[in-house]
Amino acid sequence: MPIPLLMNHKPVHPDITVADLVEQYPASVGYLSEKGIRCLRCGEPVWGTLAEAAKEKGFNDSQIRQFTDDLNTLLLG
Amino acid sequence: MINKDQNTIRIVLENLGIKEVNCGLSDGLAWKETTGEIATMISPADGRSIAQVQQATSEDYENTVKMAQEAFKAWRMVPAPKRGELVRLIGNALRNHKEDLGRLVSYEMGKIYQEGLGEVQEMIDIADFAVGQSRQLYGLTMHSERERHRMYEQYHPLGIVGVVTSFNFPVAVWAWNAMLALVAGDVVIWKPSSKVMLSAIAVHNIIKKVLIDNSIPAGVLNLIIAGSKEIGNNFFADKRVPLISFTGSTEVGRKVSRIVGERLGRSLLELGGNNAIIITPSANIDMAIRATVFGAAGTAGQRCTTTRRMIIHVSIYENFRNKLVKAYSQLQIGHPLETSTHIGPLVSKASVSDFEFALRKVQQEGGRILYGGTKLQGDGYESGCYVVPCIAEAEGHYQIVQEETFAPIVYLIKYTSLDEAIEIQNGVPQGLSSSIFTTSILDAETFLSPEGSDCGIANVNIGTSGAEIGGAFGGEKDTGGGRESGSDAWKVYMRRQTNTINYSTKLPLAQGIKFDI
Repeated sequence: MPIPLLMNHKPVHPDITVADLVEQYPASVGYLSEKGIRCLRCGEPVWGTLAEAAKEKGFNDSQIRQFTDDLNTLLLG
Repeated sequence: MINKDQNTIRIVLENLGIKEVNCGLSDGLAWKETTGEIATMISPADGRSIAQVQQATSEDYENTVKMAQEAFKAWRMVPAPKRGELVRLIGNALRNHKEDLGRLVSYEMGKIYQEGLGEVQEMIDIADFAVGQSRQLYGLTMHSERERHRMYEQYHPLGIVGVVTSFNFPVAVWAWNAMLALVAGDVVIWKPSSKVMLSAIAVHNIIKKVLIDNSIPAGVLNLIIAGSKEIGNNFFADKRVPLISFTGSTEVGRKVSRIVGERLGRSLLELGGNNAIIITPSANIDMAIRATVFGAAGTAGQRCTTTRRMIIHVSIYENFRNKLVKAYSQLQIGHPLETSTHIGPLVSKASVSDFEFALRKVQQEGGRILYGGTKLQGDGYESGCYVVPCIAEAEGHYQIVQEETFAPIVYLIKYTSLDEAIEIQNGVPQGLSSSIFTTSILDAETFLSPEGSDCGIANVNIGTSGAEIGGAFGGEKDTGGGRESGSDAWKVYMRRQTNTINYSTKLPLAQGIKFDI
């Protein structure tokens, strides 16, 4: 089910911080975890941007763009 | 009678000096104007906004470090027992605010009120400990091999201690570090978790009067609230900060270790745990059940020392499992300030998503949910952060079991021999806390021996969580290797200097070397 986009929330982009991402879109945690990117550790968002977190797990720019596209589809409906 | 209504919370906030919009920068004596982003603190208990915080910027950080450097020049020369006296007064101020601060911790973070009180008590306990420590910053004396020479070592203050704390202990971890750092003659810059800013502000409001009344210079105890964008890598890379004490995830801890290590600074790392209890055939099952429920479900599974794995002998497995499920069914889940509540909310909706992911994963890997694992909705659960603690059957090698999920999920794993149980217990990347329930002295001593638990904490007939401040707290492997709080943890906050004094009129060289000129 699409997740409603809240007012003042911007679309997901590779340079969004993981902290902002999980606060604005908690459901993104599940999607990214399925891809092997755990956004939360010890209950806290990992530091840095989505792109940085993904690159640490070996994903390239093209794959990261796909993640953001998927997330925006999921979030925007 | 604890009242969760908004009027009570308003009074608590007033008592602690929390305003509608609070400043996120303090030098200990005064709140400073800042220009950073404004953050709104939302309670996971009811989803309501509590108050806002104007965060600090990287420019504020620069000013804070400069002020702390100046403060250190004066503070390091105050005799240690007098520094201890300040800590004693801080401990007393915390005693006077224990109930209010405990309530705020509970409301802002979600742990139940009793645990909020316990957290403030930990602050008081470490203050008491540090007061005594201030007269015991002992170094050794050594006999010199040279005639009329004397050797000894002394411990000097280190400088600025950077303290980065996590949401799950919003105030206690700061105290573990700051109270010892203070008696050691250091100054502190505290960066709290972005989820619990108000608890940190309340602490600084409490200590502000103590610092002013005792003419302590500005910059001895600093608070700087900002996201990792503003204060993160720059903090770790800063050579002016000789020690970084970081409590949080292994992932961020690795980054801290790398950055601080590159400049050959010191880091004190308290990272993730994946803690297990071994239940042997001779265990007192009723005791073990109580320890498991508190360890696994308490604080909604959000302690570093939370019990995440139960390693149970096959002969008693079914009995233990059934009793555990029955005990879980009696847990009251609800508002953390309600006296009847055992389990409060998770800290955020994102944590609920993480909880749900872990449960999907364990089932995909072949595990089975025995109890709980659902998100609660409806009256009283509007924040979206409440879950039913979960018991799952699993095997130790599952990927999800190898990881730490910061939520109330306990995995039940069978074993047939103690060697196998210890192998399972040690067979995870983390090494924080561990426990065995047994009445066999052979089993207990094996567990505590060099071929036993590889964790920093190993208990017998006590659960994995709820450490006392008197012992050194910390763990091995991916837990980071740091030790803080009691025992000799104070030494990391000081630099050791070896002194040799010649009171003769000759200049003999060590090792008998001749170098006549």
